Amino acid sequence: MSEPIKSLVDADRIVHEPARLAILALLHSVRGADFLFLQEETGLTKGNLSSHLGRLEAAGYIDIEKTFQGKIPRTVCRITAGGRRAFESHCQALRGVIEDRG
Amino acid sequence: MDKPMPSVTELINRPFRYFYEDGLVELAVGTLFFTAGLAIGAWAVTPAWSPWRLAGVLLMVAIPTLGSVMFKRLVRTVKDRWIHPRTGFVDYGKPQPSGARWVVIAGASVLALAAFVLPDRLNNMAFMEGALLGLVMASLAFRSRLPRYYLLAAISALIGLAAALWFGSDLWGSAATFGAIGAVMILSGGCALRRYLTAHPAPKVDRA
Repeated sequence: MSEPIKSLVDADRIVHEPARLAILALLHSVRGADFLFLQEETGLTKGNLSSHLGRLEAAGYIDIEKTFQGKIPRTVCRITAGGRRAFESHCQALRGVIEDRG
Repeated sequence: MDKPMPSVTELINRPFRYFYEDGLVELAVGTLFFTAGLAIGAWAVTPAWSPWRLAGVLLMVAIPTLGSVMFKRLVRTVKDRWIHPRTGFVDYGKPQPSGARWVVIAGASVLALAAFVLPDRLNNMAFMEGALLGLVMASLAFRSRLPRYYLLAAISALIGLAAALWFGSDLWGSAATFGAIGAVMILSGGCALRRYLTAHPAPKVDRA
């Protein structure tokens, strides 16, 4: 098995799941985003998104902050340094596989 | 039911596009440019040392300083009221420097050098302003993947060229350039906002 393929097989399963990968991709270039934005962009249902956010939070890849905008509740998700590293490392592994195939 | 997921590359770029999608930034910047065009025009028609010219000068100083701060706050407030309840909130934090700024700097440098070789009719502020604004908008179009910004870029460059050829003076040319580009951006931003609000209706609020 080539190294790039091996690194993909050994990939972090938390990040590798498409919905969670999408969430981390959205959060990667900003300081944070709320639940509604993530739902709109990923197309996930509320329950599905909540479940994935829970997994990411449990893994320490995102922080979830419940605040208020005036009287309206707002749940803001922020990627952690660990989450950023995991996401970038996974993207690197994917690139390695594609470049290896030529 | 879950919708099909966009690619990772699209998703990484998505928050940047989201900031410009609703047309509010165009509306704000367009209003600033239009006001600048009026201020420069006022400067062109008023006699030296008249109160109107002084007002025009003060306005031209206020627009890039106070104007940008005020409009930033206004855009944020309107987004909080109209956009975030519909499609969500993004905390952008400090803007990250991107490679695009080097493209704009390189383009501006080329324009500055071109001033030495351009024919007299094009060697004026209106042409430079239109070209530079066009370059900035093309750069935004490339990063945001919003096609209408490519159109705005082309229109800006054409307006600058037309103003350079039509008006003999830098002042009138600049007034026309900023005024016309501002008006186009207000129209474009307004249409984009209307389309956005129609496509994303306000959430129903339970009034107990």
